Amino acid sequence: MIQTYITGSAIVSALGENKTDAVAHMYRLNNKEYASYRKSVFKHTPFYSISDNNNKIIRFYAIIKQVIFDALNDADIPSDEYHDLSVFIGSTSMNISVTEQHWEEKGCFKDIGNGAISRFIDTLLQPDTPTTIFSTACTSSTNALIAASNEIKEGRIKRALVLGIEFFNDATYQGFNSLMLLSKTGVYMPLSPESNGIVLGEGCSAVILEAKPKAPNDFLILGSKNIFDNYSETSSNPDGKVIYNTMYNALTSSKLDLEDLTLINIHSPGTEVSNEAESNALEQLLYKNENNYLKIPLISMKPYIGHTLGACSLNELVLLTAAVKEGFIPNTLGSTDTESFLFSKFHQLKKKEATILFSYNGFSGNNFSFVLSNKG
Amino acid sequence: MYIHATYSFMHSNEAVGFYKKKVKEITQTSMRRASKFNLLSLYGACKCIEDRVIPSDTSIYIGSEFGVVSGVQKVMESLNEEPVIVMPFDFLNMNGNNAGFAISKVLDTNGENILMTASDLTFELTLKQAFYKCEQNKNFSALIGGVDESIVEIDRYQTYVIDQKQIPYDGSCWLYCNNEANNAIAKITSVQNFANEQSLDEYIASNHFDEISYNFLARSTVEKAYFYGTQSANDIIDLLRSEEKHLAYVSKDRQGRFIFIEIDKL
Repeated sequence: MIQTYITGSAIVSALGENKTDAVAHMYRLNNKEYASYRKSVFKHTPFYSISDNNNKIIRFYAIIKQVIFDALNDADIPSDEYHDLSVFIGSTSMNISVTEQHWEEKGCFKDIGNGAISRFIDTLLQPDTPTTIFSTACTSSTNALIAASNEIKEGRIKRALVLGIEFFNDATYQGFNSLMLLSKTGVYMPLSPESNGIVLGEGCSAVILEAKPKAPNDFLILGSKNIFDNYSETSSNPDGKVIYNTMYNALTSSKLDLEDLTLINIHSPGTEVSNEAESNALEQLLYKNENNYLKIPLISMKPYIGHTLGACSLNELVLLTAAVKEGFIPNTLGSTDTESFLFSKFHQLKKKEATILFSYNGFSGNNFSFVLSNKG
Repeated sequence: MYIHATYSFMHSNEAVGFYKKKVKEITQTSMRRASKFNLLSLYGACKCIEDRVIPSDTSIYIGSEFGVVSGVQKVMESLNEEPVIVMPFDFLNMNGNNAGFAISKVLDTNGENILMTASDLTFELTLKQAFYKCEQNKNFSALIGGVDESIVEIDRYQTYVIDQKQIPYDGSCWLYCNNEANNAIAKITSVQNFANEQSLDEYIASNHFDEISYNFLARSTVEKAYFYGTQSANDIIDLLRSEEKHLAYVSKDRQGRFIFIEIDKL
């Protein structure tokens, strides 16, 4: 049976201009430094910014180009094989930041639709097949990742480049503001009843998927599940049943038990309704008996890079798998353990390996979970 | 993947009020704040199904070349006015994936809700994703649509289209598909990529097709015609009206790559 491995990855985010810097930064950050970290990355408002002062159009294309080639180099893909890549993208805002700047300057669209992103990729890689772009809100890059993975597993394609793209744009920021979903304090407190909203961020990442690993500790995509929930346009059902079913079925499709998990990477966008839905789901998943819960550590990457919307799953998996490969589990900044939930605390790993369940849900009813592992 | 029903809707550019009335013909569900894109999607999907009973886990796949273009334009204009106010529903309506959500509420489905886009081959790539899912899951059923608003009201829209002879229309064209052969009207037997014309020509030469239809980039001449962003969805539905049996649809993108869709009439 063909498997799918992540053989290369790259990211640009608030944590750093590349994956190495981001991982080093995560390694050093603890709860005492959380406040000063936020201050350093928030420019004018609570928003996790990439440190790049170029205008919106320049930075959009420059950063995408950088993560693509960083990931290709990470996976040792020679340039004469770039054409063989099948490209998949997940994003919520796509090139809205480019549109905004162009509109401000010229009062009109630069391009209509998001095909321009695909054509930009064509100039870089000249792929033999056209780029596929998913737009399913916060599960966009999850859909892109799993679609690519499935095509490799089914023997349809040899190798894939998957991109997660999310850049700051006023439309998204003002839009979330108008819905009163943004946090006033800018502090992420995963699943906490004191959490007061979303803190948005920008981030762009890329992974290379192949049927064989390049390194012994490359992560394997074990299984996944996507379940739709038409409870509300802006959230999953707060009873948590759909999110629970998504996570549970992702585990069973991976042929794993809960006890096989090292970590659960939670979505935790920060709103009251999402916290309630996810908490209920996790309680159902982790329940043992009589108020006893399996203490599998939960982790959230959002205190590090903010909620990067359609790119979040790819951004977060790049950071977390990179940390594991460096031999540590990061803190979940801003978290507080409860009777039901234990959050990850920084520690070194004896072996640089882990099995991680990732869970995402978002606007328009998509709920998606998948499992990665590099345990031998 | 078997095609059981189709619906093709193309119309000259109309405002949201027109589509609210069209949608009211088919559902009483309140669509007060819905965007034109949502209404266009909903109308086409529901007309495709008509009175058919579909499984509750039917998925909705929407391909859109231009996305929620009027919604994006509205927000861009808001951002450049003083004071800057982005209204909540204007923001929500920028999310094209909400169209699938709206369809699921009206049809009471809980399958996947996927919105996809691309350059030139959006409907073909959307169809391909659904086709692959169908091959892997014998219980798969999906409404697969190509939806785009007319761009005729976009300032200097001609700079954004490939051929100036084309007149932008609103479009919402749909296929209802599953793995059930009974009562199907056609079967999509393959959806393939070809990197260049030579490899495509070799494939066509080594297989027999009764009729082949082409997207506008693949045609040698293009007449002045109405088009919309995911025109291929309409073209494929047109092709199904053929009396012939072994059919094919060739789509080319501006990079000279092809997607080749083979269909057998039943």
